[in-house]
Amino acid sequence: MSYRKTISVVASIAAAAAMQAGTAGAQNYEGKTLNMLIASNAGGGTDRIGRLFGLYLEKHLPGKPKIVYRNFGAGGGKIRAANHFALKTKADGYSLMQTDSSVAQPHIVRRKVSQFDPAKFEAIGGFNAGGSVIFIRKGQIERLTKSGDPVIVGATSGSRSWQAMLVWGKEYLGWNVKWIPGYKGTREMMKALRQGEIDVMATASSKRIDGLLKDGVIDIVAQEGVGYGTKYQARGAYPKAPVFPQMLEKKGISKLAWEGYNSWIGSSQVDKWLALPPGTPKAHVAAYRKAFDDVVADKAFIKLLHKTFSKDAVIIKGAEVAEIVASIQTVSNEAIAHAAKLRKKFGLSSR
Amino acid sequence: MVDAALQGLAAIVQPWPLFLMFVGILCSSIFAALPGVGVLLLLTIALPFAITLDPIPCIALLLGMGAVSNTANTFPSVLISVPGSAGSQATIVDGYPMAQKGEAKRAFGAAFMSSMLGGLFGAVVLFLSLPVLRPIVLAFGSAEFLMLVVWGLSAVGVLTGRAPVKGLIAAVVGVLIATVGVDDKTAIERFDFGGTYLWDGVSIVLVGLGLFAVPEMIGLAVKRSAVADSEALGTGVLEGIKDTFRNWWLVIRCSVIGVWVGVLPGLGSTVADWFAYAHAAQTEKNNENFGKGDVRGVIAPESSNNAKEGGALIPTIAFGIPGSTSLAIMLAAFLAVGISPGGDMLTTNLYYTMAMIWVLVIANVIATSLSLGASGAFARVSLLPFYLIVPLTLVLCVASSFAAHYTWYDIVTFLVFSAVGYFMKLFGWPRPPLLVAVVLGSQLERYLWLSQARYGWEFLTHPGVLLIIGMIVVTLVIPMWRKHRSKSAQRELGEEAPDDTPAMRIWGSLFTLFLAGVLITALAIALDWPLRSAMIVYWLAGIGVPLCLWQVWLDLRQTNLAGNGLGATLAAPLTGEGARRTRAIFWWMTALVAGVLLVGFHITLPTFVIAYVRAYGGSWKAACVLALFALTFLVGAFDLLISVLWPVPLLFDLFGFEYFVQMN
Repeated sequence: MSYRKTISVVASIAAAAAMQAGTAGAQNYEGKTLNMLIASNAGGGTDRIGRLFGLYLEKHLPGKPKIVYRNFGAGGGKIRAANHFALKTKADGYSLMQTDSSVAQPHIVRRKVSQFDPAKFEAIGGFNAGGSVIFIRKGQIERLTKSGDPVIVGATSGSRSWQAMLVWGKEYLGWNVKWIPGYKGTREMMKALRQGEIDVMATASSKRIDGLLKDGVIDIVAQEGVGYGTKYQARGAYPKAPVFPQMLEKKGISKLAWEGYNSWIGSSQVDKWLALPPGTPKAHVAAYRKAFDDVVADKAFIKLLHKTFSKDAVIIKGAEVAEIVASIQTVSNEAIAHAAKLRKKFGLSSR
Repeated sequence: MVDAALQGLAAIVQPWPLFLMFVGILCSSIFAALPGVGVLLLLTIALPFAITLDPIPCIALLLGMGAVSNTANTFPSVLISVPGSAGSQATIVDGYPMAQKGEAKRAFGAAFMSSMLGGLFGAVVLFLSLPVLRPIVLAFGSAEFLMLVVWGLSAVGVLTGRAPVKGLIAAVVGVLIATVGVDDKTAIERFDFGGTYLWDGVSIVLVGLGLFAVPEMIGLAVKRSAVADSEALGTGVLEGIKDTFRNWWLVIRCSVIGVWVGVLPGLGSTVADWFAYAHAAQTEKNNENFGKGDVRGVIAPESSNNAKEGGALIPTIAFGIPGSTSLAIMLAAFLAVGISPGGDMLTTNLYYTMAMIWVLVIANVIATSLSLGASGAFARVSLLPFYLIVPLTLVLCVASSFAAHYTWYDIVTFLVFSAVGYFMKLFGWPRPPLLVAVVLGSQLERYLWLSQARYGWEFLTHPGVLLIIGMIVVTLVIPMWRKHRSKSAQRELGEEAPDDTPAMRIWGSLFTLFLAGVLITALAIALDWPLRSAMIVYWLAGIGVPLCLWQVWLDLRQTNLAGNGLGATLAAPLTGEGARRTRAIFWWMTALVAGVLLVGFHITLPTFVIAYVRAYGGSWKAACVLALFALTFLVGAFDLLISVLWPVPLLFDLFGFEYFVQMN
């Protein structure tokens, strides 16, 4: 089915997942109350998908347990939640966390305040809106590759993962862009784009992109693509939009540049992911992964996922999430430093 | 359009949507009246259910909740100086003094009627603006936002009353507080002290609770009386309703402000009431009683905060850009049930838009009726003795402050702002300018940066910018000039006159020097940051430190120790009955916080309430009922609704016990 587009899976991971699934039947959660830590404020995107998934997880876990939701919002919520999850949450199979890609970003994981290793979390599964799409105000696309006044890129801060495409575009493809960071959020940038205050931005939300396309406000420049490493493909909703990594590949960039790019944007492939604490017994991990598979096979859930999250949402199974997260953590410090150097070069935050 | 309006009405007045709307309004009113439990949480809880509904019932339920989220939050603001939510902070400035004068009922009547009229006005504006929705929203960019923020901040000039230097210093410190957290321009973590707690800034809820609620409760505990000075509740709800209609022009102006703030995504939902309050204080005649219980100080913010909801629907409907966080949640639900924002909402799906307008209208009428009906009973709270009000308010404050991020640091932050608020009140500093500056400070920096980075200083020539500058001149400068010409007495706003003795002046100067020290320390920390992040701190220190020194000079220039030594002079306020009572309430508060840290909320809060009530002569029955109420609030709101992950109390941690309400 089209919505079940998944990224590449190595055979060994699939085999391991299948073996784990075989032990899932041993667990029963009848009468239990599960705790879902949500690394976001109530009402945020991560919160909404966590609660939506939780609604169906209650139905598909053996014994139909009840779930209570605990938001770790403001106050460094994502890192605070991950620290709590790694250090204080009991790995007894009754606690899980809904988090997002930022806790898998190496430059965040390697900060002093981060006391967790996301590769040690037991991934249950994840969702990806299909990858960010860069767009520019209608009729301005030629300015991107011409000298003269640069096109203005809106940004909330220098470290949003989709900014990697524009930084690499400027450095390696010669894009004529200038950043104005400081916007409060995506909705403020959307308004600024419609007003002509900024020329370029990106989002993964198909609802937002389609609204702008329908109103004739934008042209699509490129898309992040679905995949990891150097193997990316176009997302289902925008099959004709150029895939940025393919543009880079065509241009030919160094291994360090590739690694730096992936160190920044790679984790967005697991945009919203769920995990159990490190050390959770394998039988529980298998039960949750089996339940995840059942939830994403539930047509009612998929219908709501498409309506509230993305019409071409990518579903990533637990073993694949674990593989991607672990793989991202192997990025060298040199690659992270390279990304920081480019950010600094273009007046963005080097953090 | 008329057909669509009738179709929308017919769809909404069916039994199922009406029932859902009523449930939504009732829940929203309860959530809004409870400090620390916002309507945002209610919407989040309702979302999984709402997305299973048909479009019209979904609109009825969620919009019913959202439309009246700023109605019932007036109760705690007026009665105990605790903001029910961030949108009701400005109501405290005149609402609480009204309760102190025994006019709580009148305050409620005025607040709820103006809330309803504001909400209806928002709905009407939404209806009338349908043909021109898009150009309206797109007319305002960063430069225009900046000028609106400047306009809002100009309120500081009005709110400072008879202490202009202190007011300006308070505003400078407020903007400094607003700089705390990750700077979006550079991703530098400003004033985070090495942790993550302050990355998202200082919670406005904690600032509001600390600045207003605790100092008032300390005052009440020292005075040992009821909130109301009189034994009767004075003029009633009807008088407040009449006040609203007598000030119909103010209601309309402040509703326009509310709608406008709602229309502009990014300004934030907390600014509408302050904008409206400032506008009223700036433009109303005979404004010398603002801050001392002037009913217009209640009417203005309450007219704006419900009108905002109609305004916020405009960008949501027109572009799918939600005007507030609560509308972002609603938008997710609307999309899930098949309502797509954009051009279709004004053509083929106009019927849904009209249904939304009708929900705004009906919900406001129902919520106002419910709140007015409960006003009489709630107003009697202002006649209760201090030994019932003080402990209950303090435990509500401590529990609500913990709801900011659910960490011990919330309690620490709350205590810091409580201390600041107490000393500000003690030394006659106006507190509203600090709160306004915290609310608007980050916006000021953001939009100044965005405007300058995008347009250079040319942004000052934008037509919209010039228009708002004109508005500032008309609403602020001209009244000030007229007042100056007429040489009318300067208004004394907000704060009671401090005890103006040599000792208090010296103690007050030490407090001023402490604030100067904070600014200098901030400057020293900012020296390590990129200029883009540090610039605002340089400005604040550059302005604030000289102002502090000026204030110290003003305080000390005529201070005569009259032959007493400095030590004896400073010790004078620390003796006597007032000082003894002040020390007593501080010990009670210390015990409350220490208890929470050592053995947790569930044991401490009811125990504290019983101990306080009994210590000051309350009956066992009253003590137990109040303790039960505190425990019910704690368990109901925090355990059952929010499912708070309680931090393990220190004694439990020390002895390795599992906290009995702690899950994982």
